[in-house]
Amino acid sequence: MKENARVLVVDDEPMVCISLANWLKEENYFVKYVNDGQAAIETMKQEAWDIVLLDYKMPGMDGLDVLRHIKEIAPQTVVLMMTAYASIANSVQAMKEGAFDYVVKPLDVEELTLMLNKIVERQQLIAENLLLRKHLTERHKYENIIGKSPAMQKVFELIRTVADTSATLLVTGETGTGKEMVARAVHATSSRRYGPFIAVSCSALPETLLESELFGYEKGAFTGADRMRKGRFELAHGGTLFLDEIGDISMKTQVKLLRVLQERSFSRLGGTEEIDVDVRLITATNQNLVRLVEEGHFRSDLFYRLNVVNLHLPPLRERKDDIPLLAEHFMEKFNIEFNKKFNRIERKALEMMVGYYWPGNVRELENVIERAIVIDQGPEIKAKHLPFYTCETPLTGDEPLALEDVEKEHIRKVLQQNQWNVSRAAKVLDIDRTTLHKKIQKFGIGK
Amino acid sequence: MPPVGFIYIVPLGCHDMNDLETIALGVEEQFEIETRLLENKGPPDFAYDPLRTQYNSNLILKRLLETAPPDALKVLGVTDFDLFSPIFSYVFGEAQFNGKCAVISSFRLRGVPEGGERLHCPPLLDRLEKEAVHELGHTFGLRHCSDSDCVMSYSKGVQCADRKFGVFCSACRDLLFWYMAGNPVP
Repeated sequence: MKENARVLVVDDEPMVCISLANWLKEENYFVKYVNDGQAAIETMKQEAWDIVLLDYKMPGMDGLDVLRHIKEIAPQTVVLMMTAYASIANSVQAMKEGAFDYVVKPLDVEELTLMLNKIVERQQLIAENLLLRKHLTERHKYENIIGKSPAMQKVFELIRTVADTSATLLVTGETGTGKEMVARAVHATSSRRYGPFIAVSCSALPETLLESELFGYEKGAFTGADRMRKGRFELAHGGTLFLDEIGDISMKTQVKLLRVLQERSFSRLGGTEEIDVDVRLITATNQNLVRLVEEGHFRSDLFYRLNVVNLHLPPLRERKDDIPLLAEHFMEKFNIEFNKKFNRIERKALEMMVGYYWPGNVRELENVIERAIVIDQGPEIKAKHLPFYTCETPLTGDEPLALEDVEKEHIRKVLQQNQWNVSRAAKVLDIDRTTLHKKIQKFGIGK
Repeated sequence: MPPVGFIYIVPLGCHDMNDLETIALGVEEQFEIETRLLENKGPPDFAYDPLRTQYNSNLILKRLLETAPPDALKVLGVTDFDLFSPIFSYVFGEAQFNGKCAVISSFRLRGVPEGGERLHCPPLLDRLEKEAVHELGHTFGLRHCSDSDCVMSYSKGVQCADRKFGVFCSACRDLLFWYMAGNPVP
């Protein structure tokens, strides 16, 4: 490790730099030195350094200023302050700003050696810890789905069991629980993984369009059908077709779908030719299909065909153990996306997140973390970054509120958090602006 | 191809020239390069720092480089005075890493060895010889060795210096001759 430890020396006296660099080289460190704070910052931006030996007093930008920049650029780098003027005030200040320790010039070789050895050992432990945490995270991951809670471990187990079968799967769960991700995970771990994965949101298309989308059409099938077009069933041949919001399809489409499931073949709109397809069907809904069947809005025979294996995703409020893990995962994801350097979540923020009701589930959590990372520079996600921060007591789920009341309250708070910027609030809520405007009108939410 | 030139030992106000002859023999044996002892140049007053009441090893290295004989492959200054490098409170010795000159001092090498009296050679001479080989090793591009027996291992104090041997471990020896053959020092 020592051979690989990279040390940057920052001191305005060239003789100090040369002397120290020479000694560090003999000590097997990789060394570079610079003579002022600005050059140190530039070097930190360009290369990764394990240890910085930083002079406290330099003309222009002093050691403390440079320390603050280093901690922003590379928080993991260990900074050792060097000072010729040892004072408790200086050392306390430096430690407060994130310095590992400080040494008094002229340096004692033995003291410096011990300190550097200690730092290298510490860095090694941190690296090992990160590796272990990564392994642990992998255990709590299935494809891209994250969860260490018993409920999610059961979901992973079920996915593993059914993935390599051709069984039709019905994924149920509230909005934002990750139903499509489960479908993708099943596909990715099945023998069909080299085939296509085609996803269709049934609620996004009107009935006629959905039919042509699913089954395709022949040239001249209807006005505007100027050429033959393959449907999603055909495109998914050899792979998986995922139909989201299956509870929203019309009775007519239900019949057609039932037929495909029974016959494993269908014909395009306006066509007579029977087309055989080899498709694994995964459907999903956030509605109670059993109730829809009872009410006569969903065919029972289709329901039983779709519900060969039911995979239910618990809402986030029922797997609170996963919230820290998920929050950390999204923090890392958005760090990369927005080039930020967040590395921790404030305890209070985490407590608020765990206590919150999460009507929008994992998707809402993702949006909350995204927002926190967009609006601040970090390195800590704080309670004040959370849109529900103003809640004096976060919703616990025990309040005697109707779902509509919860929705109304949540929308109102997100709007307030975003200063009534409808676009931004819509993004946090993960709905489009038009829908949000409709909901504002419907609930009579005012400033 | 073996390196051309000699290793020169330059006494800088040393009391015992006999010791230096012993050191020169030890150096010659370790590096397999003819080692010559120059006349005593006297105390390095030019490097004296009145504030620290010590001698600046960097200035001594600079002077050794300026006054090196033309056929000098390496030059080792030896003094009895207390050395400091600007950044450190004191040093046993200092070398130009992969350079030409090194300097060592007996000042901090005095003291009782661990376990009391030693039966073989006087401890100071033993320590000086090890320090001479160690610093000259740096001038050839050798770094500190993790083998605590090797002369290139870092000595935290005189006790550590006493514990290590005055010779290179096999790895350092191989590296030394590899660098001497003209291979670049990383």
